[in-house]
Amino acid sequence: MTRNLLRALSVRGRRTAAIGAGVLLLLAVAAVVGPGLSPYDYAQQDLGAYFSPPSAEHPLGTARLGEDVLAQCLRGMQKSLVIGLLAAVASTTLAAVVGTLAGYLGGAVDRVLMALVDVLLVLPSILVVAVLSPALRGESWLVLVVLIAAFEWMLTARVVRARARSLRTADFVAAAEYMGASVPRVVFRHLLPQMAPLLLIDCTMNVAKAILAEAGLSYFGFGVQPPDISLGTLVSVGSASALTFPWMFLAPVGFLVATVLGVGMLGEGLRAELDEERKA
Amino acid sequence: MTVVGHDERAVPLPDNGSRAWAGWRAGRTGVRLAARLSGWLALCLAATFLTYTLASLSFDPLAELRTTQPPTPQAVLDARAAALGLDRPIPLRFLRWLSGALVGDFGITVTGNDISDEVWRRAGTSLRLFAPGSVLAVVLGVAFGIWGAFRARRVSERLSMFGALVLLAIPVFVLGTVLKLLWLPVNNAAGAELLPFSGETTPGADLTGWAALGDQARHLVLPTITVALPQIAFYSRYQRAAMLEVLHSDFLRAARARGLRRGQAVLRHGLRMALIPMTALVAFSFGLHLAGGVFTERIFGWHGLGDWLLQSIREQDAMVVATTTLLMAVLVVVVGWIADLVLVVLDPRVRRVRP
Repeated sequence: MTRNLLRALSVRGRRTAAIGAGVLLLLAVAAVVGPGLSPYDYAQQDLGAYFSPPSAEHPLGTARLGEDVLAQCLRGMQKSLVIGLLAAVASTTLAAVVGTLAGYLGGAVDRVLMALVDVLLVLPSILVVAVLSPALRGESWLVLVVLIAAFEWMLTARVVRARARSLRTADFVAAAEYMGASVPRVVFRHLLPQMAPLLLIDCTMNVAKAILAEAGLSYFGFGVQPPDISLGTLVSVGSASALTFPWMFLAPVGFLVATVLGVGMLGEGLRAELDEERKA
Repeated sequence: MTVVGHDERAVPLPDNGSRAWAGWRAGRTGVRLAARLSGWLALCLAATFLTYTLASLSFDPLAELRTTQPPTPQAVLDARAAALGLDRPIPLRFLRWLSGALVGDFGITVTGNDISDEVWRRAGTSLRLFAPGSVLAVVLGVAFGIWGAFRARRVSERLSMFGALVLLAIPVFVLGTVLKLLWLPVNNAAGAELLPFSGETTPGADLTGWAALGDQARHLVLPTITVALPQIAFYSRYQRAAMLEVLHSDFLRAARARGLRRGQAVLRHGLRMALIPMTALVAFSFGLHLAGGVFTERIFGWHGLGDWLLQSIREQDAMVVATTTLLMAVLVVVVGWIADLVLVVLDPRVRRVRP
């Protein structure tokens, strides 16, 4: 497994992945360390400066009640990154298990699981989560993570299933079966490790999807609820005054796009590496 | 919401014998297309039932009545619940709604208005917003992708592919607002709303004929760009990958060996093969782009189905949710079926009748 991972990380396409990883690392460090270094708390109000444009004191300006926009963005990015990571890990895990079971077992299990995937794929998942949002007023944001994960796993599951189907006749699977390995053992000890690079890449892409899903839900008030803030809620508040106080909109948008782009470049780079390796 | 770099391997190829394509093997093309259509429609109903169930479990239309001061008498609450049909189990409620919906009666909203009165106007609005942008996006996305494959690894191509990646990182609701921000100085400089930011038509302006049409067209420009740009970025990346694969394929080399010039070989043999995976991609990703359309409606103040869906979630109205969901699912399914038809035209292997 480790060797597969290392090989996926060598050859070419490396530069894209490295730039993406660099951007992400920078943003993550800023999100974690930044609030400690900043003189302002994200909720602190500077009563002398409402809606003030970027200045020496407030590098990205201030919001409606004089909150420092930079401090808000860093705090919001913390939440967006955590939600993105958790949701992606959860959905990729679910996709890996469902996809492998469907692909390996085939037959009725495959048909049932793939029918479920098809039904869930007909509707935009973000709208389904939005429909569920009235039930979670007052619940913690962790519920939101579970929901995003629950409606994000289908495409990855399809990819995993296709791969598992092609692997089910492989020698190492046959060998494991002859040794009397149970279904869970074949799935978890033999098939999933073999697909580790693929899963890693899909997990990366799912981080980007989850961050965008959270932002979209929060933008319409269905996601993160006040007093919590995320990049989505900040963009939402900012876009109301985008034409008059553009910094309130452009600052969180900059962080959001940089984060998603960083994740995307990391994933694309890794995928190019993996394809290169397959062809070689 | 557009998906960043969703995996082209996720799209099942028509010849891999997957379950979804098993129907092709039996019978003639027409029968098979009909079978596919009924499969798609079953998906539609299942998805609508799922959403209706989730909405009914999640919504509480009586919440407002229950929190009044002095408290609403239980009898009133019960009567209201009965009027909304809340006293029956969810599957029965769904069946009743569905039996009406099939003959064009979608029930009433929580505020007591007839859904059928409003739904078709809204569906028309949504189509007018979403159809031109999407068609444009598929055409341009395919064109850019093919261009990218021919220019692979040159600076211009790398830059535009990176640009596509950036576009995919920008959520639709940001893109719409950014377009407004960029266009604002132009409108200001002109001293008039050259391209208006909100609504379908200029309110109060009593225009007829060409003037009305022009007014509508000007209102369409910015929303159409918002709908199209992310899809162009999305499709072009896949088309490029598919075309690159074809350009390096053996059958194209064989065509060249038979004496066809490069351009001829690509046009006659390559293009067809490169377009085949796109049919499945469009079918499967259309639902994702539709979510972007919902956001676009909100940003540009169009009162279509998406706007209605978001509003009905606020008003906790399960019937409107079911109605809008059904229509969106039907749209997704119709696009999927058109993709099937295009596939039949493109791929002779699918047409072949097997014994």
